[in-house]
Amino acid sequence: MTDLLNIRKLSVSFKMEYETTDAVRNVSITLRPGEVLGIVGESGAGKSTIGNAIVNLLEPPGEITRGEVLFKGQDLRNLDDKQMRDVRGKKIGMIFQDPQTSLNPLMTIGGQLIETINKTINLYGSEATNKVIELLESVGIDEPEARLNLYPHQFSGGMRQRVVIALALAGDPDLIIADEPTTALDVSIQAQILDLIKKLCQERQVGVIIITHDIGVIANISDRVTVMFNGQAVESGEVKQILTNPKHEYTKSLIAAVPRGDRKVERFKSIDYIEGGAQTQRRIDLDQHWLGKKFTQHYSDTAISINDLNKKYSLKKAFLKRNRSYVHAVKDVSLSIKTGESFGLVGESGSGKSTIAKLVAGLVSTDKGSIKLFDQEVTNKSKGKDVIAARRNLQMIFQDPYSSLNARMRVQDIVSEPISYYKTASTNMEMRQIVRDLLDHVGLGSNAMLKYPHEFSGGQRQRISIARALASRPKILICDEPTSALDVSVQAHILNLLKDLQDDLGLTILFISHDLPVIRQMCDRVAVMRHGSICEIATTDSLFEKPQHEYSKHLLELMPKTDFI
Amino acid sequence: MKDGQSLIEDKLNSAKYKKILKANFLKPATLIPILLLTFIAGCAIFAPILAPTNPYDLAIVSILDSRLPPGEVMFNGTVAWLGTDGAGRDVLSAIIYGLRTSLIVALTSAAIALTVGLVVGLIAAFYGGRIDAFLMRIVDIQLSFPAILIALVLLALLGKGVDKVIIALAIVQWALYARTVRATAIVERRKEYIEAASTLGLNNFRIILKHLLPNSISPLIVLATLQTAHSISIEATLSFLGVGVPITEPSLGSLISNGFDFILSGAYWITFFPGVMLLATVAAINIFGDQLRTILNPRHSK
Repeated sequence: MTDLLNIRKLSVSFKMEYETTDAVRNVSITLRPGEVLGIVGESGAGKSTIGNAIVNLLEPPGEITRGEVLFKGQDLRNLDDKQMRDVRGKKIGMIFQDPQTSLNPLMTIGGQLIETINKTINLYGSEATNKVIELLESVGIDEPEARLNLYPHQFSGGMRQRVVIALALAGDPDLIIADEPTTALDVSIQAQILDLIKKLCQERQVGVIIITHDIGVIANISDRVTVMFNGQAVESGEVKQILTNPKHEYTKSLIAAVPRGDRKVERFKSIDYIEGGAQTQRRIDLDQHWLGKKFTQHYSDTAISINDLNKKYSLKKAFLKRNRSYVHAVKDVSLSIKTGESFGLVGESGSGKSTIAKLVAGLVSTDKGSIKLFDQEVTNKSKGKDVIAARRNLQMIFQDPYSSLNARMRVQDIVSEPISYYKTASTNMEMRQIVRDLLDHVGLGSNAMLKYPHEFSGGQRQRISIARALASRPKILICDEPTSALDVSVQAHILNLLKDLQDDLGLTILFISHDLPVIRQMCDRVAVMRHGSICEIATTDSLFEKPQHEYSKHLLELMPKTDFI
Repeated sequence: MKDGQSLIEDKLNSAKYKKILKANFLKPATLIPILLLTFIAGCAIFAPILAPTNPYDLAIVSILDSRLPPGEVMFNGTVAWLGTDGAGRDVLSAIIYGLRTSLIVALTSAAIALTVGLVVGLIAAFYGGRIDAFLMRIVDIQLSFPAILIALVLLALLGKGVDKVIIALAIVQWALYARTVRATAIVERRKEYIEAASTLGLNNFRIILKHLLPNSISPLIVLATLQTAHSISIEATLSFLGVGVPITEPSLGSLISNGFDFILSGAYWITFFPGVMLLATVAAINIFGDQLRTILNPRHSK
């Protein structure tokens, strides 16, 4: 069988005014019809650049410096813009990450598909409409006739991604390039979309390139895989062989960093291949250090107790009560978290898990119910001294490391802010020493003190966030999806750090995540949430071994399988 | 540690940023307005030294010198390079002094408007809800009237004087700053570092001052530059209409209006040269503001 796509020694570089970045170096890829090739790598590995280079959509100043892209024996680099547009529509389909932005919000679904069909296969009128209906049926949308006149916002995320796939299929392409097609979707929808892509690929004998950072996706769908690191393809081959028996050091470390869903490990394997060598992390002797000073106080056994908590967000404001509409984000939630425990909240997007975090942290006010931190009632923003003191026991680590640090402050000012605000250090010298210790403790080193946040990578920023949270000497840490914006290897580092901190400082952790394997590795007990209420609370082991609730079983089934390791 | 600190700082300063800054500043589009503005500011500051005569000194102003064309020698022996006006004042000297008045009025009013607008905008963005709605409706009302109309009414109520013009111009302009800063601040307000600051237990005043303000101010720098040019024009318009600065402290606008009576009788220079100066100043500030916008663009400053 001839190759559908043959990329030979492709190099892409971005010439900036002051430096040239080689995004892709000497990468060779082949793809046969009916085959799914996975390109996996972490951010900055150049995997998306390959996808864009194939269809000549490199953003300037990027350009192909060397190599050739043979598509059915024709070199795509020699085509002019018009010919390239034809290839893009008719021969190669693209699926992008975010179904929110890859559809035109002002056009109906049918309109967008018909427009594409007009251009690609020259069908018009009722023939085009029939073709659209057929396409929508093939991507698994029920009652396509009725849905033709709906707008993208009337579809859910998964449905929208199906429409995007239908758009990619509209010209009967021979090749589909899917760039992180399921990253923005929940696990349950991810599984459906991957199944769909796989099925279409086999039925229509289309070649598919899946670009992703998620080893689980690769394991589930692709036949072969290419592992990218720093612009180079470090390893390629059959999926099974690469995942079970990786040859290259990088692949090994990447696979070791994937959190396992099947059993709990003490720590993630140390993977120093990526984040710039071994990180020396200094332990702090709590009896002597400033960080430990406050802990001599007595604390009760229950760190957080939530009783009958309710929160509604208003969707539509109106003068009359009957015209208002609400979404019930948190519904009658009760739970209690023991001191020193790490408690997980898991659920799909919109299940209300982040709202609980914000309610506990006092960032939004409660509608009904009570929240106690160490037996101190903190519900709603009463400004009493006891409440403020109780709140200081609680700190939060946020999801997005890029927006959770003030870009205009130096790292030392960010970390020392709680110390100087509460005057918990006697001199400036002492404060600086504490900041230095904290940064050492989170594995950053005191060199970081004078820099600004933008000089750090996502993982390093998350470390700064953690140092800032520790600076107010909390007893409780709320981690709201702390690693979902990070690469797997960095995620492993951060999760290890959180585990160490918990051991060292005896922190109570409320860990919020949509990622079941991560929850399994991090938590003692878990609550499964759906539509604002809790389905099941159990110890992590018993939940993963013997889930009781239907929804928990469902979630566990969809969890990407990692038993290949 | 001292060495370590200075080392890191050196490295930061010498980095790409400086190169980009330099490349941007050396473009003619930036360099020419900067040179022009430096020249204009120099003229305004050193007016008593640079001006050939003192136009405010009534003792040396002679009616016999009135309406001399450019290049003529005046009664007291000095050359009137740009001619003299109807009262016998040297137009060049009057322009240099007038520039002073115009710039003082524009800069002070811009500073006051900026401060007021910043406070209002930040408060509206931070607290949101009813406070935001209330403050922004005031802004809407303010912005729905033409600036010149409000200034005219205010000056009619307040009376003449440099200080009154400054107040009027500040009142006219604050709303624009408030709206701009609110738009940026409302985006910043939703970012997680603000939430982080409030979980640290910081009070609202500190969060606004140390976290919200520094992150919301950069669009205002450009706006302030452009608005300064705008307020020079408004002031000139007001003075032209006769409600601006008093005739004893002429600004560029009052000089233009002063010469308007003679323009049909051929004494074009009394109006023309102050007009050219006004145009040059406003254009230079505007072009500089545009360049500043390019330089401060987040993509560059990253």
